[in-house]
Amino acid sequence: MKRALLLAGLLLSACHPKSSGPIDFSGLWMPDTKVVTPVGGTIPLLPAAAAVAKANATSAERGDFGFDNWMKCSLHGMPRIMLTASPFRLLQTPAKLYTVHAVNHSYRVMPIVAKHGAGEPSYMGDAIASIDGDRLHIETTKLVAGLIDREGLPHSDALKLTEDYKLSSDGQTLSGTIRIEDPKTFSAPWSFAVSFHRLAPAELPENICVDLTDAQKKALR
Amino acid sequence: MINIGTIGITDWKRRRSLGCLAVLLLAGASTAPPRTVLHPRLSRTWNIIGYDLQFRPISGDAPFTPAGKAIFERRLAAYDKGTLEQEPPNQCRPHGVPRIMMSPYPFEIVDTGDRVTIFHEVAHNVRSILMNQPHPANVPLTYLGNSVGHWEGETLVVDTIRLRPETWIDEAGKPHSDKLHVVERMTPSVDGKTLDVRIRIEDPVYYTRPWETQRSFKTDATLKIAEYVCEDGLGAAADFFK
Amino acid sequence: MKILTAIIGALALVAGVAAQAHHSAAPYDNKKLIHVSGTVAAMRYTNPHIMIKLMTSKGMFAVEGSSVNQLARKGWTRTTINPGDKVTMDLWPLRDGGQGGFMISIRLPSGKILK
Repeated sequence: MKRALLLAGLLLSACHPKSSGPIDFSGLWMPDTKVVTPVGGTIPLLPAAAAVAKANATSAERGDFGFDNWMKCSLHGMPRIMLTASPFRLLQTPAKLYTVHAVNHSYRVMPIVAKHGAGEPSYMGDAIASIDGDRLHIETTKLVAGLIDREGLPHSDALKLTEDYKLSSDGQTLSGTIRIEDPKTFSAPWSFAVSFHRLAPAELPENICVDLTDAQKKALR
Repeated sequence: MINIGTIGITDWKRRRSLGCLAVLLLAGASTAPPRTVLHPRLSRTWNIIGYDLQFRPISGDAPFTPAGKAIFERRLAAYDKGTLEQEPPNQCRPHGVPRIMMSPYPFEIVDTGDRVTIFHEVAHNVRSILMNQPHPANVPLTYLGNSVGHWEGETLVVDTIRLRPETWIDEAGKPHSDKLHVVERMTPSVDGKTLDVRIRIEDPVYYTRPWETQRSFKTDATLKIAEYVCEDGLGAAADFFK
Repeated sequence: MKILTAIIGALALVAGVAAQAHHSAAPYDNKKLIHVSGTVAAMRYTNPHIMIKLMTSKGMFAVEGSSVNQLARKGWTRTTINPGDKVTMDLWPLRDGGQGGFMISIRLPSGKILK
């Protein structure tokens, strides 16, 4: 008994708490969420933005996607790429997180740091990440104006995104919320739920937007 | 599958991590910690030193077959006249390998053990190199090909096949077929500030024998890849200057 | 190695629609340098190449420059030059003799020279 306790003690001491490190979020993930459903029921659009959203949604219903620059092979950007039917690979190192999205091979680079750096606005924005156990937190600023979803819900260049994800205990689901703060478009911050399921190991297919037909692009809106 | 394979660590550390793993398993943990980067001098952001339109052989002339020479001279002549022939990146398709490595935009190499990923700033291209495995069978031809890699000391050796023949070997227009086989040997300097890439090109359709070329890259603490959306520029020049 | 064809399924690569070529530096003669002065009439500060319409005494010059990303690394921002600025430039001229070139260096209204 004493020997067993000693062995257990040795094993436990060999596993210094630091050696277990942060959870690994790496792997292949597929977005499950297609429709933005605001927590609390309504999206607090300012009047001018509401008119744009309505016009875009009407066009989308008619099959007219002229409002959608993805049809001209511009990037989906954030947060829309997380609502798009494209798998992505998440890579994790001690210093940074990365995602590689199959559709038109776009990617995010997210340093695990406390402060944003310098840089020009972009479709994926300037993202910084932090990990706390099984929770992942990402803050993104410096986004170029664009669309939040395939319906054409707009956002301005003032958008600040806050993503909070939790890994399920079986490691198969990543779920949480994306918070939208954009005082040029919305009268108040709001958020919506998103989730992703883990895919079995595989390689992302090559997907080159300029080689896609219109039908293929529409399927990936 | 929990992978604790860590090449090059001492046997003591391996036994200790096995012990930790046993404890974690007993404690019911569902995930393993991410492995540390074992070759940190390569996992940096790099920018090309100098610029040359051509990948020139380290010794002698490019050993073209007659077919290869004809295509190359035609493209070079078009370049000199200012009426360049189109290559895939002109329409925002990926450049191909090794062509993308001569591009004057930085790239970030990320080593996560079982794969090495190269994030190119140029047109948001991404190369994925699967480590320590053979090329799979029945892989389609793609613009950036199929890459597998392994370490030889501090050198990452990348083997690439199955490249679409529409891409060019270099900006001047050296051709390649779908039989192209590229081996890149990437070695960071001891101080971690420069990266030497030696490239071996083998393509029996256009070259009578394999030949080697080279590029060097540098890094510094401020270098960061930025977003570059090639597609937003399609048609831009024609529109702007009309 | 499994490729995720099942997910992106129908999206096999097909020959693309014709797209406007993007300029490289090939139409320019990199062995010559010409010097032009004028006023910035219009600018497009985006990738792949920034574009400037320069109004000179000989009429409009179509100038292309490096990418936004490359210029940022040399200290440029989108307000480094603006319409109305009087500037002088060193250019690689167009090979076909047209009024245009690739910007190699520029002298700003402040007198500062940027490459």
